[in-house]
Amino acid sequence: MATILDLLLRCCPRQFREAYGRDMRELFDTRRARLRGSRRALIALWLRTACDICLTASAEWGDVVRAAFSRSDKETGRPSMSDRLSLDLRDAIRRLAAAPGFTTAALLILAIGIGGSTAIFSAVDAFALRDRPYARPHELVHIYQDSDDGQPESSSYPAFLDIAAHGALFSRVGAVMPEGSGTLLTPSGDAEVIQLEFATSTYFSVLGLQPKLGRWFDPAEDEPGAAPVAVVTHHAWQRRFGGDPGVLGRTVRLSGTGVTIVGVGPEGFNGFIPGLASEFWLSISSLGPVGGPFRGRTLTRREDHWFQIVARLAPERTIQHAQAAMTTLADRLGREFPETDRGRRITVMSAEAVRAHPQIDSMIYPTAGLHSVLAALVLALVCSNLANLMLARGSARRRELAVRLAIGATRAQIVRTLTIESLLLSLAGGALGLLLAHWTIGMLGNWNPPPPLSVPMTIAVDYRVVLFALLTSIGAGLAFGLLPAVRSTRTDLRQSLQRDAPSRSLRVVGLRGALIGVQVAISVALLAGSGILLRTMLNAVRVDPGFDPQPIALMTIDAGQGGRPAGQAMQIVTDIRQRLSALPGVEAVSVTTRPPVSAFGPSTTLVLDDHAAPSASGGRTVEVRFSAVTPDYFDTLAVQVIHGRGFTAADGDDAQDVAVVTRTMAERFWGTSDVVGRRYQHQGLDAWISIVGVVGDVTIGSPGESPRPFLYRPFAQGGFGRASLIARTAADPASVLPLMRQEVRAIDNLLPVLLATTMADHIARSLAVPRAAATALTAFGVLAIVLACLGVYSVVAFSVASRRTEMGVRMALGATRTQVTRMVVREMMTLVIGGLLAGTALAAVLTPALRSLLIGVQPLDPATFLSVAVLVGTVALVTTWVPARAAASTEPAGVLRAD
Amino acid sequence: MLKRRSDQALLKPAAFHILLALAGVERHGLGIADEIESITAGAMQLGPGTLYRSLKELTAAGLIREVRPREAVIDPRRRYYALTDPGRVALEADAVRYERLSRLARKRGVLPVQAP
Repeated sequence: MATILDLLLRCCPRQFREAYGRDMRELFDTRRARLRGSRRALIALWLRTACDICLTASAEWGDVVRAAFSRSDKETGRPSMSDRLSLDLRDAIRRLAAAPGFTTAALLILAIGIGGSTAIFSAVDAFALRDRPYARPHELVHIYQDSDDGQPESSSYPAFLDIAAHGALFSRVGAVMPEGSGTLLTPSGDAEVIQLEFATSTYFSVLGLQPKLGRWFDPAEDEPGAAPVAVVTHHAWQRRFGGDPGVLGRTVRLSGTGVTIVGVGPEGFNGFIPGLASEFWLSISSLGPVGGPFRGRTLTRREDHWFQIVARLAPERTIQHAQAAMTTLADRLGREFPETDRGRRITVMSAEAVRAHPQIDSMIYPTAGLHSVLAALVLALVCSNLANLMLARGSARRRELAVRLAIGATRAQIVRTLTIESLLLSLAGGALGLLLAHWTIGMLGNWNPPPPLSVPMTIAVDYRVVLFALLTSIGAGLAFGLLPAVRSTRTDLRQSLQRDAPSRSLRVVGLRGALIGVQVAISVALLAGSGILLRTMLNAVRVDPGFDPQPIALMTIDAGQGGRPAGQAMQIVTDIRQRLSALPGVEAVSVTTRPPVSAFGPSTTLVLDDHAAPSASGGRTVEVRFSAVTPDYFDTLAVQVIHGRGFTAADGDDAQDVAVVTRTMAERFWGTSDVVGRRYQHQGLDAWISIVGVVGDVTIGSPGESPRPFLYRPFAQGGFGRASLIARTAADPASVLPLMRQEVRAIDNLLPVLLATTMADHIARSLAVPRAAATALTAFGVLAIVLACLGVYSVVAFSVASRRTEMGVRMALGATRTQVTRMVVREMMTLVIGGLLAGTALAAVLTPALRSLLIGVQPLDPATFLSVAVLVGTVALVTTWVPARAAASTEPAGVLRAD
Repeated sequence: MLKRRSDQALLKPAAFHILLALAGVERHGLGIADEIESITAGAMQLGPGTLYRSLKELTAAGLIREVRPREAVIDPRRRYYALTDPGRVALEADAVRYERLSRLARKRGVLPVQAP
């Protein structure tokens, strides 16, 4: 909120702000503190203060301008220009106040357009455009070991050490492991999953970055065994620690391990992916203690590719030199470590060609492009509407302007008046829009997006965008505000002064008609997008996840953090399960390492037995997702066991290894649903595991996906400490959640609860991204269609008003009311249909970009496109018909007599 | 607003209240705002812009001046204001005018007649 006050103060002239800004802020803060949290009073205070500061700012600027002008007037001796200007200003304000409907509409349109497009484009800027704050980026290169399929991906830590040994080629080499998540124990005792990055001591100096406070890591902290230390990102420092410099030296508990904060990162660089903020960089020495033994081992394993390498070229070295040396290195590694590195190339790319990572970039840019188009559409919508409003107002004022000309006003005077009016309107609308953009972006920044995006965004209002949007709308306002003015000051005075003068402004109608076509087209495009997304939401709700989510409560805990051995962690999970089963209202509790409808989770590679159909490449190796579940899991979710059996208590740690597969897995890999008795091996292990049962499919990733192969293992044979407890309840599952948390606290007060929710909410959250997109598109689509209808109505009303004589003559010559109405409607609908066609074409170009969000509907869904076109067409038809019919109802004799 | 000020012109309400708040005592901006709120029983709450713009103009017109606070305990970062002699005259003139007006209002039955 403080930033809004800043923004308001910024409106005042600098001198005034510097003299009194601090005092004004203090006064406001004191008043706010006295409110003691009353929401309504706070809003009232904000409104009062905002008005007060705006008025003061305009008065102060008035002083500044007056002072400047009065100096020059004294020298020239001419009548004060400032007086004329203030007269014109007052005049313009009076005129705008006299037409409250027009003024409100124009201000709202401007505010929404500038605010909306600025907010959207600021997000695009943060993710896709803003320069990364690296020093001398032309010297920087990214180095990737390629993936198995030959794409630049990520490198192993031993490979990083090999590359860093090329001292003559690179002045420095650094590495970061960006995909780390950990749990942070918050002061309230809750565990929060946060984004971490593990980085080498060279990482910051390669990029040319300096910590804002404290220090970056020492070379000694690259060695396992050194004390774990962290640098908090600037974003997290502000958000989590309130920008407190005392954070240095403080210890935070990350995934059960105490880590000392030694520095605060620079502003504007909050992690590997632009636009998203990680919370901490951790030293390599923290990798084992915080990341767990699994991550800790990657430091010596050439199999694990987790690191992103960045290097600064030594003087006089080029990217070609680097690529040649890296190719040689790749060949050497292939010879020395054939089982992991044979044929694996190393790719060097300039840091100027890569934003985050080639694969992430390929996701960022199309999305950013789509959103830029959306921002442009909103801006186009606003400009065309504003133009229409100004044209309508200009036409309506032809008589007034003619009167002013007749009594001696010069054309220059009239044009000046209208210019000032347009400018005033645009500036006021722009200011409102800026506030709106600030507010929207503030909301986005505070929004913790649901998985898979659960990383805070770092978006700031981009003032270049604000300026662009403001200039565009000022341009539109001016151009279309002045056009009728210039035109009408050219017309024959006598003719304009006559009542119902035959209109010469058919060209104005033509222009306004074209604008209406544009608006209809934009409405159709936006509504078609929102239509297919709404169908997605409907489909998602209707999709059967394979079980009844209503009576289910879900809680995910991490008992394995802080390096607790797996056996011990699993025992804790089992203990909690037992305590939960005893809770009143709980019918059954089971454990899974991956609850249904989870976007992320581990997968494993299997080698199937000879009964399985070989894949296209001839092998029987398949990658499937899996979870480890307790025996009663299928009962708890009421998942049908189709063949064989589910797990039993007898499938323990020391019993024979068994597995249950889903029907889809059985049918896809063995070609039949009954695969009881078939076997597989986990790749790299010798033991054969028997399939003892086949169960029905449940949704694995997101609602509406096509069924995927899925493997279940007994929890006792393949579980680990990070697990979800699934409880079926007799009453509302939400009412059991607090009790479930209490039970966890009773066993271990520090045990992180990563998630506690009802299954229905869990599924709903997985749809947050398409829902947000649908909401935005629907809101803009509805806005577009309302604005388009206003446009249609005003153009038709204006056109029939200026053609009343023509209609009178037609009706006097025998045309019926219906014929006259039909004539007007036909003319308008030609434009509308043109708009519908253009809009459908535009939609067909844009909607394929939404493909990844859609469930059960194609991007070019003919039914949706047709219904949107029919809807918009019908609405336009009704809005045309009403004024046309009214015009045709006039008495022809009366109209003709009036002439 | 003060440019056109002559003996006939009334002070603006904000200016009048500020001068009144400073009558006999030096205050800083926040103190002035609080005093005005208290003497008007909360009916008048000057916004930050209005307050400091008025202070600026009153200073420029010579009706008030910035002073160094007398007591050492007072917050040194704050600016304190005091009435000047012309300020006292202007305040007095307006107060007299208001008194005359309220007497007139009483005579015409707008206000209840005060018990003697």
